Amino acid sequence: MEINISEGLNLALFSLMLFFIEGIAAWWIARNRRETLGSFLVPATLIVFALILWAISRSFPDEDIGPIVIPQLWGTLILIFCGYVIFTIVRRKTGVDPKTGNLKMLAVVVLLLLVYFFAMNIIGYFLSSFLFLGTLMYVLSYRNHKVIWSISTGWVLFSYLIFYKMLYIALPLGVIYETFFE
Amino acid sequence: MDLINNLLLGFSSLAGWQPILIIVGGVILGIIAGAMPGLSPSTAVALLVPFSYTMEPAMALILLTSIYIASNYGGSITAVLINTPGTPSAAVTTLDGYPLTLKGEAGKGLGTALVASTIGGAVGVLILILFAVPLAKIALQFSSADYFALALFGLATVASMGSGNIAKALIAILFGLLIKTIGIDPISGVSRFTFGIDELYDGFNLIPALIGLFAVSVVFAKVEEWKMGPQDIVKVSNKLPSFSEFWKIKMTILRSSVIGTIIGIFPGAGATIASFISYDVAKRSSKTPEQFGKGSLEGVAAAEGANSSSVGGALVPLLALGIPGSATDAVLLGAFMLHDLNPGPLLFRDSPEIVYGIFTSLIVANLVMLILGLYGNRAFIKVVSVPAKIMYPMILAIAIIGSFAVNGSLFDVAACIGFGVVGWLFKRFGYPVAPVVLGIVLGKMIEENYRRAVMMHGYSSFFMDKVSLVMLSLAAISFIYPIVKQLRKKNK
Repeated sequence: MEINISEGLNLALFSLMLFFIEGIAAWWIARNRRETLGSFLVPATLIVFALILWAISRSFPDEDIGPIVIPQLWGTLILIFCGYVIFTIVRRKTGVDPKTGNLKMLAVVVLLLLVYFFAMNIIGYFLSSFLFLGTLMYVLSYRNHKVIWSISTGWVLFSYLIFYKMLYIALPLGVIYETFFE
Repeated sequence: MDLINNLLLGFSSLAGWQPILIIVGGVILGIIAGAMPGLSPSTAVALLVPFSYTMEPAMALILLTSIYIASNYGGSITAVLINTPGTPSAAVTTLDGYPLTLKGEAGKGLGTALVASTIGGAVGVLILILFAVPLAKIALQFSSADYFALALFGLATVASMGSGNIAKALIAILFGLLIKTIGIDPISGVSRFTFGIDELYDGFNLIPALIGLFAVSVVFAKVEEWKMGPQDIVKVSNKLPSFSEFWKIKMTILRSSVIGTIIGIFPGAGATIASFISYDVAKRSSKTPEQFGKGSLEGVAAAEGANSSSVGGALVPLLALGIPGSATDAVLLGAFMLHDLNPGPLLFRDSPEIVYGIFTSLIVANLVMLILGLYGNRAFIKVVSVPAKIMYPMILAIAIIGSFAVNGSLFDVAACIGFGVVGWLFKRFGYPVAPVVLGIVLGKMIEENYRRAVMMHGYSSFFMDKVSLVMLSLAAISFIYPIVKQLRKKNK
């Protein structure tokens, strides 16, 4: 079921409005009960997610027991239970957020993972895996260079022999290789 | 008498070194494939079908069924050691297996998984041998309403996963169910929530979601905690559970084996649902339910007993009626046909040596799995001694290749990373991730059968059918009982 341009625009506006409302609610929670902001954001985002899917599902054919029924049922139940969780937060019947750890390090790891993902398309799986493993071990403050080199090389060899050669899984070779060598 | 004669005939087909070597080879390959996230039992069996083409039909099928049975156990190894379920059904094993590893009792986790898998596998085969034909006929009489009730019964297990907060467990399962509605509607063919993305037409694949929710999210959580020493495990022990510990969980293993076999018989139900239901039943009937989720041997045994025994159950409709009940059975059906054999009642009459050869080889494969597992566990356990600074990058590398291997698609890799972030957030704020998997597994089954039943017989079909009515009542009881129990506890 494709959505046309005007429906798409309406949906985008509706989504923006929902996120705006979520933002205002988050700001209110941050002012009054900052220690539960994270606990609030999870159900609030799920409500936004469910409402967006609910809105999209209105474009499905409205038949008796049609494709609209089940998504709307799950969406409605999510709204109810997330609403209940938010209610317990507002009524101070819930505990506080867990302590924040090393989010900077986590952000670096996620970023590296994303770079690895995009690099696979460009420089191929094997080279990007080698670089990813080496860099991540180094970022996680492992300093035995011999081990770093041998594990990265070992993994590339293992994945080449087992996945690429034996199981015939077409691991991406990358745009560069495909342009110049194929 | 016929049965005994046929079994003797089956055992005679295993005489000599060749069949034993084939079983050992099959079990080793099955364990490796099962332990590798992204390689499902069906993929492992499918990969070996071409190699088995030149073999005698009996030997070829013995090889393939040995792989099938061992791969279900293999999935538990990585589930216990690094919280990465090798197969979807091993997701339930992580709930108690990984906490055991964190306590330094990886040997107990692996030992329990191994013994429960062996006994479960044996019980499944025993039921297969004794009741294959009548059970298959009963299973085929199940209507859409019955399947819907069965799925709802599976869904009701969520109440025992909330670890105190049922609302959060329900949100998690609803999230999984909603995710499963993405893709082509199974009945009308309408595409839902696909946004024109081709890869979304089939919906999210279970394996990348599973790897992301369990493995990637744990790495994220550990990185955030910044515990990068030689892991946060006190001391890794390869000590197996004692005989008295096994004796204490004997009923759990037997019960989960029977549950797994029965659920395995229903085409499409499968090992994952069997594990979830069995885990739920074990928790309810346990004297120490508070230990579940914290490293309970009963929890590991319930999950593994059920998923291994479901193999025997799934072979019932395949061998007795020629109807594949799972993806792996469909591959096996292809292998049968490749050797000019047609599974069904006639196979029992015309080629008893093949059918009973498979039965007896499954019993031997279970024993081989036990022996190899006992020796292999010592080597597997060394994995957890690897420093976290090496282990976590390796887990991420395995997660990426495992997700890619399912369909050869980078979209699945992106989904795995996305589910990793969702899993990390969920765990951080007290939402269990196992219900998300349960929702994804059951979503299609619930929707298809609910709509089909209502379209064909109206809403009354759920209450007019005896089987459906019994299962719906059981689902209601198993859902409401823990909530009432929790409320009573709070009031006290």
